[in-house]
Amino acid sequence: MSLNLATETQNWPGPDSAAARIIEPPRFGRWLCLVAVAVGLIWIAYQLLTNPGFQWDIVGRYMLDRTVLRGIAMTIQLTFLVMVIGAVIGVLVALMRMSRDPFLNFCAHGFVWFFRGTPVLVQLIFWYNLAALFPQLQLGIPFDGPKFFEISATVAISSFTAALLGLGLNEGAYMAEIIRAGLLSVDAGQTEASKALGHRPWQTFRIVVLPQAMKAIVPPTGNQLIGMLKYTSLASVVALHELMHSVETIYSRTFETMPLLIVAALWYLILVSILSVAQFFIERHYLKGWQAETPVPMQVPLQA
Amino acid sequence: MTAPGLPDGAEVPLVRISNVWKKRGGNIVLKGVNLVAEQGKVMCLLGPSGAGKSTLLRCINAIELADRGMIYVDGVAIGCRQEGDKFIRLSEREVSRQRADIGMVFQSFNLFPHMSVLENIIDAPMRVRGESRAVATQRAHELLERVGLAAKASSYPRHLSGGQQQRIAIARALAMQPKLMLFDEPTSALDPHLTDEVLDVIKGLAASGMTMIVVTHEVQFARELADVAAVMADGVIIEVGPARDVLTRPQDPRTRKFLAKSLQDHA
Repeated sequence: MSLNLATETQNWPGPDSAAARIIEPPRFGRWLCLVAVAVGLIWIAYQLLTNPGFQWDIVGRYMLDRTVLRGIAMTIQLTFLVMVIGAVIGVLVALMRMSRDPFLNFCAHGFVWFFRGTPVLVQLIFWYNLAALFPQLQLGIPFDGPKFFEISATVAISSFTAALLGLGLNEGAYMAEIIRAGLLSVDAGQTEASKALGHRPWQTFRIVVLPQAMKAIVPPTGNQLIGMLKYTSLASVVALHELMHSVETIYSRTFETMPLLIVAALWYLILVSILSVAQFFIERHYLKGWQAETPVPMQVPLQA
Repeated sequence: MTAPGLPDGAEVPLVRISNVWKKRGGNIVLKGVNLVAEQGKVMCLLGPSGAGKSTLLRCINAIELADRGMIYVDGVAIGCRQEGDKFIRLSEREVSRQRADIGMVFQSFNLFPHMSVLENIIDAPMRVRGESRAVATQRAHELLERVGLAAKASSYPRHLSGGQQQRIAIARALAMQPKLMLFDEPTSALDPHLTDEVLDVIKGLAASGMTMIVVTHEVQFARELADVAAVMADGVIIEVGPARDVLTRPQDPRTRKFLAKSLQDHA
């Protein structure tokens, strides 16, 4: 406190002060780079404005086109659901991999090995064509036992369910590894202290370990989320009407390929920007307790 | 109540460790440990590093599990359900109920860094005991007062010194109103000039009649604090008795060697 008061009452040294002056050396390299970057940006801006190939009028016409907007809605919906599926599978598989039970460990290992090891495009097409292997999906006792429930594969597996399964299972495998890394980053002493206080296993996980692991989980998950937003465009191969597929259907009819790809790129950029802002706030939330000390006036008075 | 295996009318010890064995990797770290801790007494557990002191302490609240033998706290088998002469391992969830009555203080404090000091203290009373926030907060403030940190309730652990963190950790354990307190080298991670503030809190607690088992390197502290001293070496108790006897007139040559060495270190 006394230190603060002292600096507040002192005036900044004036021109006649005896305190030594410190001069920054000139940084020519920085100026040179600035010029190079500026020239590059001006060239890009010039091209964007004058090159007729961009067809900005067409870009403008399609930015808010109904088909495009419906594609965006599908992209957002698919990204959200896939990430939820991925997170749930990820938590379960991560916990299984960290379990001392060798069987659970083996199952989790196998899951990650398979779904991380095969291309997501192949998985998508595989799920979409599941009917070729299993024309009828049945729930019952295997090897010709009784059937409780039966449905035609072509009915059960739409473009949407194929995309959910393909992307969701793949994402689950990656999320499992991210979550496992996060859980491993929390000191074992935290679990011990929580146990010693009588927390039940689930409480230890949810109240003590997970909130601390989130600090390590959020940045790569943000990365995954942004990646997934764009990976949903792979679902265009199973004829799902997400953003990419919707611009494809338009330019395959009108041959305005360039402007429509720009429409898609701009929309992806806008969505990613929104997600990046959200990530910033989520990261800040989980840094609670790790930041520099709260300034004194913000602390609640404790003793009445 | 009479604990099994004790003569009728004998005072039931709060903690009874009966022939406990534990393996870790290929090593046997506890080799048939027998020990009792009386209600209201302070026991210091001393011995060279690697003797198994911390392992034994951590078995008392089932943070680590003994492989053979049994530990009873207040007559209850820890980590197990007793059916006749059989012991059946409890699930983690069931063990957590036993742990709630045993406070533990760690060498490295292990405060929850994402919670404020107050949240650290009130979380378990609220979630485990089901106390209201008002009641838990009230007692938290009393405990903070008692450890001399009333002004730090809204601070985060990271912004406190080691000595302050350890005192908060003691308050957190006490908030559960335990019948037994375990201390695992509570001052070993502290700068020498910070140990006294923690030792003073522990001494105050001893004076209040709390049953405590303290694993420590500090022979001087053990002399001042302990009613009973137990010395471990190579996974067994080599000497146990009234602290003033064990620490001034040790019978076992290994105890003598250990005491001489630790006095040398502090000279």
